[in-house]
Amino acid sequence: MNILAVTACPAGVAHTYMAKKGLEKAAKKMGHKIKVETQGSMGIENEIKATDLEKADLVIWAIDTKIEKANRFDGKTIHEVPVAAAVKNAAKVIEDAIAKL
Amino acid sequence: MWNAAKKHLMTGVSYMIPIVVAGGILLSLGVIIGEDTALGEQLSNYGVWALGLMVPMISGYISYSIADRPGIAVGLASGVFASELGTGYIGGILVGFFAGWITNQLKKIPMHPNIAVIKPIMIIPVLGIGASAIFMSLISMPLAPAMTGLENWLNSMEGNNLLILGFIIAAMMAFDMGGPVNKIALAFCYATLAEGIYAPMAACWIGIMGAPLGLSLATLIFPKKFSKSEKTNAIPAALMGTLGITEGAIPYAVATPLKVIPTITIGSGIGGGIALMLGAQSPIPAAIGIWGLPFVNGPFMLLIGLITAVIIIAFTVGFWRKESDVEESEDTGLSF
Repeated sequence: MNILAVTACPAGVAHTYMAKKGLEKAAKKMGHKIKVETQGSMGIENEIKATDLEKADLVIWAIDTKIEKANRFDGKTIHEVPVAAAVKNAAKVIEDAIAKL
Repeated sequence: MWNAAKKHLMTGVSYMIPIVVAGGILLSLGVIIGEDTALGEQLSNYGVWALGLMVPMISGYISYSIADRPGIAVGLASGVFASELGTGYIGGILVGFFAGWITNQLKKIPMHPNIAVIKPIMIIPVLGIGASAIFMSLISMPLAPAMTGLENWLNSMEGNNLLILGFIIAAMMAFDMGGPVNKIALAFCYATLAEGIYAPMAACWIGIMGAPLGLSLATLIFPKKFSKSEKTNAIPAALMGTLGITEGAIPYAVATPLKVIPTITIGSGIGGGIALMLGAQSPIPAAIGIWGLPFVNGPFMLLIGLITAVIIIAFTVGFWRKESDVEESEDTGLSF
């Protein structure tokens, strides 16, 4: 499955990137492809492009703040969780998102 | 509803933090060099000017979070009203929500396509900022005296009250290790710092550094009770802790949350309370970590509080954890 995810936390220095790592690790273990965009204090990094969106089966937002360019995901089913959920148990976040499809 | 409001507030805090860190450090450098010297005076001035953006930033970006781009102008202007009227940070948060809401309402005004262009450049800014001005002048009547009262009360605190204040702040800082509760406490400390009340920020330091340092120490004293990845995480966690970043503590809390979170919350709280009761005050933001220690008022008092917190956390977690917890945490394998 092709998964896209966006992570963002208030300070944008640690949780954002830990959530990214967690999601990537869990997705790999479960055999999914994932691309994670981070919106930390440096702004958008590893940006999700239109070509990524075409292939995407699933969108996960692990966010505590408003994110930039949210309208890119219009029309997709979005599974939104607090960033801490992806840090603590990214596998469960992915499972829940799949169950929602 | 509550979750949405929390997200808006966090967005505001997130945009505000860099301003406060920069302004706070410029100001404190000025104070350290001495405001009677030309350089020190200038640095303090620039610091104060940068800090003047604090309230507008939070209300502007709360409003942005609610109403997108048109919300920024309305929110920023409302934030200036909030700080000019002396309602400070609380007023800024309230008016930020109002600004976002009114902007969203104004967006809905139906308009003929030929003149629709005046909506974003005339209608929303003028009516939005006008409405926020009215809102602000109304709520400033009860709020401005209340804020002055709060300030005086915080300034007059001593003894046991300081102990409680320090406990609450440091405990909140440690509780979710850099999450929303932590940011609310941090925002409060920044707000009081901007008003010239330095005690809360001292407790904030301990709340930030106690957990990562204490947990790292625990891996050294009780190596059998921690997994390999937790032990390799100890050095980066401690290092980041001394730089003012709490998040290094998260991997330990993920492995055994019920043993770690209550301990770091209470341990940091006690340390924060002790430091404040002994009279520690920090006129500079906690963002630069332990390296700013020489610049605080009563550095030894702060250090006593910090060491107390670290020792309580290290030993309580060490004794509480069993060797059987190790396997469990091996699985999560989370590193910072």
